[in-house]
Amino acid sequence: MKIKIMLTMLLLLNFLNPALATSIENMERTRAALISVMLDANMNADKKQNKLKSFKLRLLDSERIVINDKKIIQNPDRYTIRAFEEYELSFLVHASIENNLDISDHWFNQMGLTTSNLENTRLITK
Amino acid sequence: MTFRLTKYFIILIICGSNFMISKSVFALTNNANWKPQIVEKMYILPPKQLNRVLNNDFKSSSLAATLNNKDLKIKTRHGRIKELNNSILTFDGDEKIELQHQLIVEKRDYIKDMHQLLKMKKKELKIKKEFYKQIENKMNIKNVANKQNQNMFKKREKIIKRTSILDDKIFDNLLISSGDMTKYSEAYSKNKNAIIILKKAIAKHPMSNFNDKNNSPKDKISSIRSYIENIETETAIIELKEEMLNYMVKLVALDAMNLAENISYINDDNNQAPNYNDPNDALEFFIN
Repeated sequence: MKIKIMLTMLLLLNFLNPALATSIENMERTRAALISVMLDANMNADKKQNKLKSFKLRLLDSERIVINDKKIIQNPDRYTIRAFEEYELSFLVHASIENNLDISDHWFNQMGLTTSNLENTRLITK
Repeated sequence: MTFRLTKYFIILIICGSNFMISKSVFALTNNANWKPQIVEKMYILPPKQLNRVLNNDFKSSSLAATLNNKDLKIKTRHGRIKELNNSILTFDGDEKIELQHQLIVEKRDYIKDMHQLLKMKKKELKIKKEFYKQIENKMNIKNVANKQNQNMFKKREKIIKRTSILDDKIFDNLLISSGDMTKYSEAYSKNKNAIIILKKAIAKHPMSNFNDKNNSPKDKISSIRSYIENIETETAIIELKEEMLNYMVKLVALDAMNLAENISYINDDNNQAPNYNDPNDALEFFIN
């Protein structure tokens, strides 16, 4: 009985507490979508290119919104702190343009998935 | 008879003046009031401007109006006391006593008004001090919060610096190549240009440097603290003036007592005139 009441309370609290999307959450969502398109092996090249183009523009907007959000540093949550600490991986569009790289190349570089790294891995595993 | 009445009246003045002063001051300070009507956003103003806004706010209060009236009243009383002091020297006898009596009453009223004025000034300073204390507390709280976010602030500043120089590159590499711009990108480039123009205008503005001088949180707090210190000094000066006023009250009371003594002495002299209620005094009429 007690468990039922508690579960009802939790559900109610969940409904009463609407999910407020902050600028950082929107950016993370777009970034995740872009990376999933990037890593999708089943998508054909043209479709992937078009999708990436559109996501890049959306991510650029999201990044600019985050950068210009003055309130973001007031009581920042762990996602915000992490995003600001890892600029190269969080602000993908800006960082890739800064490094004169395509967004995919930049992300793979940051993740350590470069051609030479992969070749070295292959050599070691041989 | 009239002298006796005057004597009692003067004694009444001496005894009643203190009570009247305190009672009227209480009533007056209750009626005249000032509640700073400064909105929260004004708190971010530089201390000098904030002080000016606060002074202007005070000028429109009922306390300021009453203070001004009292100031004028004191000015007229001052002139009247001076006039009476000069006139006393030119008169003698009953007229002189009458003038002395008027002078004491005028002095009493002057002290009463001055006492009220000082009380109101004290009230004004107290409200000002409370206001500044409130701002100081708010700034201290804000500083603590800022210290916690300082690290994030620095990181954000660094990112802004890094990304601000990329705008042209982004436009050339991404937006032109993609062919179409999003709604936000369009608005961003438009507003960004406007913001840059406005920032340049702000930097060129003569008042911009003036504000920067005292706008760092440390300077702001020290300015607010110096205002509080000044207020405390002014309050201490008013307290000194109040002490001086107490001596004035004593002196007026002594003057009144002296006048009462003089009147009673004249009265006694009148009473010591020969009376004819003893048959011995009329003896000579009968023995001749």
